[in-house]
Amino acid sequence: MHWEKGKERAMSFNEQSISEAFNKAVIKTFADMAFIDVISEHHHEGNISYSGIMGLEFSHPGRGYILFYMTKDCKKHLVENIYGEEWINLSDMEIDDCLLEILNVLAGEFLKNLYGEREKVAMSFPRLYFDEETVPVDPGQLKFVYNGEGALFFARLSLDE
Amino acid sequence: MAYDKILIVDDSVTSRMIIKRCFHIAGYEKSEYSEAEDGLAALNFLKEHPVDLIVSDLNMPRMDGATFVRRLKMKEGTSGIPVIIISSMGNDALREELKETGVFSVLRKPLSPDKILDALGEGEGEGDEF
Amino acid sequence: MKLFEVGIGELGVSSDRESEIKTYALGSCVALVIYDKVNRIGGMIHIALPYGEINKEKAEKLPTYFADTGLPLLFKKMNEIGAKRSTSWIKLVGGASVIKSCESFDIGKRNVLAVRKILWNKKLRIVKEDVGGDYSRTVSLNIGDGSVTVSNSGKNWKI
Repeated sequence: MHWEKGKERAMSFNEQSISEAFNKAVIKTFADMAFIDVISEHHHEGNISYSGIMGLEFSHPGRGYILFYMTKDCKKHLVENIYGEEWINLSDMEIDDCLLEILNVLAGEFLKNLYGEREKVAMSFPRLYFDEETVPVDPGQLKFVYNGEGALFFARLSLDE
Repeated sequence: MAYDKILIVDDSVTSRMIIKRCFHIAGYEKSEYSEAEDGLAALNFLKEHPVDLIVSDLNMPRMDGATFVRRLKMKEGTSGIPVIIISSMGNDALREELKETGVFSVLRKPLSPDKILDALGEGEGEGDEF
Repeated sequence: MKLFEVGIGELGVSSDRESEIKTYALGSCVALVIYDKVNRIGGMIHIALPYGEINKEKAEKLPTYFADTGLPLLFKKMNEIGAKRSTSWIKLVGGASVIKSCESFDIGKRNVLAVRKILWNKKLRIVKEDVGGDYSRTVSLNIGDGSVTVSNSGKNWKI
């Protein structure tokens, strides 16, 4: 399935179900792992700042990738809640690892929501992008904006079945 | 049943922390925990250190969880150790595949104390003060 | 049967086996119930908001109003009265979404998440939850046998 650029149309059922599956995965993972209440901000306009990008690719059942863009405050909240420790007491390795593990779990949850439990899933290891030029760009990407108890963050999803 | 020595195998230090804490909360506070960052490190550890239960991730570098389990089941000293797989990719399809390799249980991440209790039953809690 | 009523932002503990602790009108509020089944000691707190930092003055005057300042006080009381962690269970009730507005956030959900976070850090397990939905609950704990009864609109059920 491809998105056709430039065509004006109402959101298709497939696009809607993909968005629902993704939103559900984000909300559930942030609540279950980090005890953070996340709300989808459908109508957000304008730029949202971020520090660092993390991403993960998946290849089965569908092929695509997920990218997350968060501020330092947002990351701090996540990591401190999971570890039960203040940011300054954690190493850079623990912090990065924690964020990547959240992405790993979230991606698994999203694929389960979309494809169900009957098909095997294949995902890459999640990674940090240190150079924005290496971040994949796809005109068909869906963008999702969220509010995690006051901190805005966003995600991009590309899916090609 | 008491699992006195538990080995946690996962390349994520955060995941190892979460697994250990979930086991604590499920009542397995008295158990002794060891950690390995992938299947290869775990196999090396097991040469010298017997354990009662292994909890392993699937997607790991150097040696993934499925290969690790197959190697475990091939060796006399380790073939009888119960193994729980915990994975973000844990689903029915994976469960069916891994059952044939002798995996005790497949749990989906994020792990919770309740999932451990469903798989293993309650541990013996300790501690007097809240 | 003696009845100890816990109001919003209050807590109560009891070792009297002829008593019951009860709290009412849990809309978005949550009640945490602890019961030591061997020593037959129970406690309950009625929490209104997750974190005291949003109103430091109130948190100082009434710490039991908030999950993060209130739960440690409940634990302290339970320790003082002789309850043992290893023989106790914890149940959570409430956290309903009673305000229908997409503009405001869900306080009920946030209360539940705040309690879960605090218990995660204390390595304590919630054995049973009756949370969410869009209706108010009343909950009572019978100190004699540890039974927890939840009610709404004339219907009762045990958890």
